[in-house]
Amino acid sequence: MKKHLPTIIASLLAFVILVMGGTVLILNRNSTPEHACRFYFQSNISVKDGRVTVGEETETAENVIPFTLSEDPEYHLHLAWEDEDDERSQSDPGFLTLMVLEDNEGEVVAYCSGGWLDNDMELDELKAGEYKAHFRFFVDEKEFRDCLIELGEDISEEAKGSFDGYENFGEEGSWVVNFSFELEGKNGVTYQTGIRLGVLFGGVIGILAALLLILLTKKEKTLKGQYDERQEFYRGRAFKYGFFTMLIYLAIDSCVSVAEIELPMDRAVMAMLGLLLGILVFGSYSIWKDAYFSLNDKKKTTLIIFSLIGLLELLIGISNIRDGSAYVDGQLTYQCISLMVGIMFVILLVVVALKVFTGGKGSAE
Amino acid sequence: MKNLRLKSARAAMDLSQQELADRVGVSRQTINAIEKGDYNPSIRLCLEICKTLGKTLDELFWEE
Repeated sequence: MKKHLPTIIASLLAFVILVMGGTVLILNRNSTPEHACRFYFQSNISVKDGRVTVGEETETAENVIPFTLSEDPEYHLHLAWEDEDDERSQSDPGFLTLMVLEDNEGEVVAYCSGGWLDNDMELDELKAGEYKAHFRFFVDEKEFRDCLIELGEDISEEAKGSFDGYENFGEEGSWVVNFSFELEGKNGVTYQTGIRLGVLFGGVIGILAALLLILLTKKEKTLKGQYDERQEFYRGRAFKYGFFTMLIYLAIDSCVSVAEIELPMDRAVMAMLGLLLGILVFGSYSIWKDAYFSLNDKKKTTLIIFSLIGLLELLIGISNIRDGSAYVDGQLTYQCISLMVGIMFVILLVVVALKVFTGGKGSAE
Repeated sequence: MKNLRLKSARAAMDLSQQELADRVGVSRQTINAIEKGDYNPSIRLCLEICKTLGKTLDELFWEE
């Protein structure tokens, strides 16, 4: 029994990882919205002589998007906008935007304005039917307030003060603004809930597995990696190189942050990339120096587990790319981390293969 | 510098690198690295190898 304990534990871990990954995949797939309305449009908005116009001269300064919902589950609305010319903040344009969502009877279902236009909203009472999303633009403060009061907003004296934040309100000029309106049906488990469950599940299982391994290695010494002095020496070097890689990466990351350089990835990806680079350098160097696998390691079992994890991560990563969650608005999101981990495992396996083919075994006499 | 004396002492006992490695408790690659002169072993490992091969430190590791 003791002899087979490492294999049993490795198999159990592989099984847990597979189940975990499978669950995340299923949750992701189930949570992919089936009922969705997505609109992306560009609006050329001008402010001149105290008037705001959209595109060509129109009577009302607004964009109207009609759409039909065929199902009536709960919906999640994601609104976003950006200035195409430069990345001015929302308080910069000379006008204010108000989005009003009306049903076919003209009843207001939801609305938002100003900073809330870059936001997510939960719309739990949308029924199947026809709707119109009005994007209205204001340059007159009174007109804007009247509209809000009409919508049932309580415009108190305190709220009036908040208008001061829009420093350029009323400023003349033209703005080309890209709007995105994404209404997605929540089919069972939402996407975010799926991801959160996956992370929570993975975290708990990971901690339990680590605790189990620590307890077992204390009792069963054969489970503990045993390295000879040459391996210890090269592992020390590998750790050093990995550490310096992360150090240099963090320094570059800090410079990028200070210089406010926009990178096509979010903070979670940036952090994870540094971590993976460090692990990759450590793993590649120690594999190349025959110091990765311990004397009591079952190399084949380890490589099979590596391949399985790599394959699983790649599959999750590809699934995330296909459903469009890994790359959003020109930025890599944390959903692409699985793909990065998968690629890292593939690179490590390539290093193992190269080591074998370039004389890893040939020098035995 | 290659350690040909270690290699011949091992061959004289009809031991493969793996067998010697198993007896002294290191990996085959470590024995290979010592024979090729790519790695300088600690005095403890030198003693282990000497004991296993029935040689003295001078015979296997002293440079002439």
